[in-house]
Amino acid sequence: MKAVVAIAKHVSNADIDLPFELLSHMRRADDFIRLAVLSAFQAFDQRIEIPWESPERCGLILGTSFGPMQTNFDVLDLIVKGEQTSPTLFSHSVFNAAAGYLSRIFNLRGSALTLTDFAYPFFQALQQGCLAITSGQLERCLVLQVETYSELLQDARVRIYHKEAAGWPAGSVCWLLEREGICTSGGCIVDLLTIEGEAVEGGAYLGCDGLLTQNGQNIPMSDPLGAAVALTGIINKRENASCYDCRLTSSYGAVELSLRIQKSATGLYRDTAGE
Amino acid sequence: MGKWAVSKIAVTGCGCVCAAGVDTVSVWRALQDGTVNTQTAPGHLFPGKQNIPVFSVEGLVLPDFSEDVFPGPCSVKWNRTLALTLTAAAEAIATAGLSGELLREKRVGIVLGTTVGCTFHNETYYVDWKKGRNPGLDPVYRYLSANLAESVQGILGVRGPRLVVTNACASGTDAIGLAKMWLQNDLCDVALAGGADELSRIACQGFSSLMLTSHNPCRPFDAKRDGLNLGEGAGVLILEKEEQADARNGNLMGWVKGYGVASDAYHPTAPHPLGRGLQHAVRQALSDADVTVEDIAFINAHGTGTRANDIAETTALHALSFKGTAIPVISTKGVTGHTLGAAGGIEAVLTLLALNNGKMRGTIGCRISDPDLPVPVLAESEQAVLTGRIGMSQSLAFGGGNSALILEGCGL
Repeated sequence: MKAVVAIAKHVSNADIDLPFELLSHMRRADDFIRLAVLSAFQAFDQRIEIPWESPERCGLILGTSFGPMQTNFDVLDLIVKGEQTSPTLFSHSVFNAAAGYLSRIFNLRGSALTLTDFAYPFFQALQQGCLAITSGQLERCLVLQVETYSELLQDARVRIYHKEAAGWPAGSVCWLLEREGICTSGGCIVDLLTIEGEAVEGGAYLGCDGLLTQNGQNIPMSDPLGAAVALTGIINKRENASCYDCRLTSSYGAVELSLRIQKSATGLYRDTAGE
Repeated sequence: MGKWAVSKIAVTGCGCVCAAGVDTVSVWRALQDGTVNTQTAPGHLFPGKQNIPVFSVEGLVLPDFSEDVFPGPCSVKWNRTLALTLTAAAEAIATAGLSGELLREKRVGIVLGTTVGCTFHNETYYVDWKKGRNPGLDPVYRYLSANLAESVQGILGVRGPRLVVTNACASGTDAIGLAKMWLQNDLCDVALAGGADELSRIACQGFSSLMLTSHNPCRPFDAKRDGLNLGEGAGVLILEKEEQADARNGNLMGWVKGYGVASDAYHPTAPHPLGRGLQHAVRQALSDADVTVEDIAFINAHGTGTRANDIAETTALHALSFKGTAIPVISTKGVTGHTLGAAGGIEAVLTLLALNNGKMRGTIGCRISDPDLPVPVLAESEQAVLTGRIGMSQSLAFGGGNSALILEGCGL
């Protein structure tokens, strides 16, 4: 039994205006939470509170390099000024706040895990998502990477690399994994995923020197979300290919990912609710 | 979770550090003696005065690491969470009897939970940067070099999967559960798993803003409880496939039998009043361990000392047909404080110690158990002799996360 990527979506900061359905749920949410929820909303065909047959078998794994860093600083600003700490702001500064929103809005009552990794957060989340499905723990699992960065981080990047580097674009990538057999109409089977980390000096993570090689094509990476965004684009483009063999390399390690397209593909999206 | 036709996961080492002590033996002794080391946050931890009691680790001295086990460069990477982690890891590796040579022959999985440990919280740098003073970048380098799992991997000089779980207060429990899954799916041969966290000003102020902190030593499950005390520490287990532990004649301390994880899907900070997610997580853990409620001889509850937690947790246990009169239910947070991402790691270690000792003292701080709790808990003045060697350690978290571990001791 393998995991299948049924849907792959990417939203960026430019898309962050919330649709009507989400407004009441997200009044006080920060950008990190908004991006996470918006990408899942796209993955679930713009539905919320989904009446899954077994909500306990639907979960999520969220990976991030930096988490809601700016929200942390917003809390720190209040503390440094000696002002009253906002309980809402504090609760949103906790790394798994977005996972809590996702599970509540989309009725995902299985595992809701947040993982933090400077090198390959999306692939770490994907690996755990695949494990949750192949072990039988879950039938469906959202896998996300969300990044919002912060001005402090962007500034440090410019100072370390001595150039006026373009800012990293905030965004979220969300893939819906399903157990093979449930996902019968399209999608990509995850045949192989390995992650090899190398120990590096921390500054390397701001260099973000990755190269994604996919079916012989080289795609340079320039931001921590870049590989997940590029793969999402490749999957949705659906060029003539039966599989996508991808290798991501950087000074801090390598990832190998093989995705095989299911033959019965009629388009990536299908009804995922168990009504 | 489905049944695994794979190895049993043995615990061959454990290490623990918190306000109650800097190693497993001293923490266990403090728990039996009811030693409560709360104090207002010492000034060297972070700027600003806190008027709430905390459980801080005093006199934290890094162990004299042997170069055999810890060959990697580490001096520039120290931060307090990492120092706490390494203190517990050094004890765990030593009790497991693992040499550096053996570790470097194996695929060593490292999965650690934390909350504060993954944030950039150098206030001096932040304030200076905000004022445009162009501060030196060392704190940024330190932050980017301080991913817990990556740091420990580098210092040990080992290869294998690594991960930091940032699932708030359930992080340590989830880390141990994921390590079990890694071993059973052959992603690694040995796993170092648990949690670590240092005290921080943001956490102190944040929990206070939510009106969750007590101004006195916390009293989990007590009728007059009024909140939690934050703490810091680390708890680490060494896990191996049983056949490997047997083959090297490893120090068998018990087994991680089951893991369950589920979300409340209810509220950003409050638990579901019926403990909905916890019920599912426990059912999943019992199924994964292939045991029933009747097999459980001891429950180490999350037991923070907040009303919402204590009611939700015991309501879930009642719904699952656990009888507190037959099974001792306790919280260790009256002695450790709530160590956030470390809590699950520390509590897994203490659960295993209780199962191996065959007895457990009641919840320190709980003088009169709240009569409204659907399941009675063991009060401070009580002691239980355990009727079996299988127990459960459970965690609840912000965001509605719940996780549970089923552990089995092997006796002293």
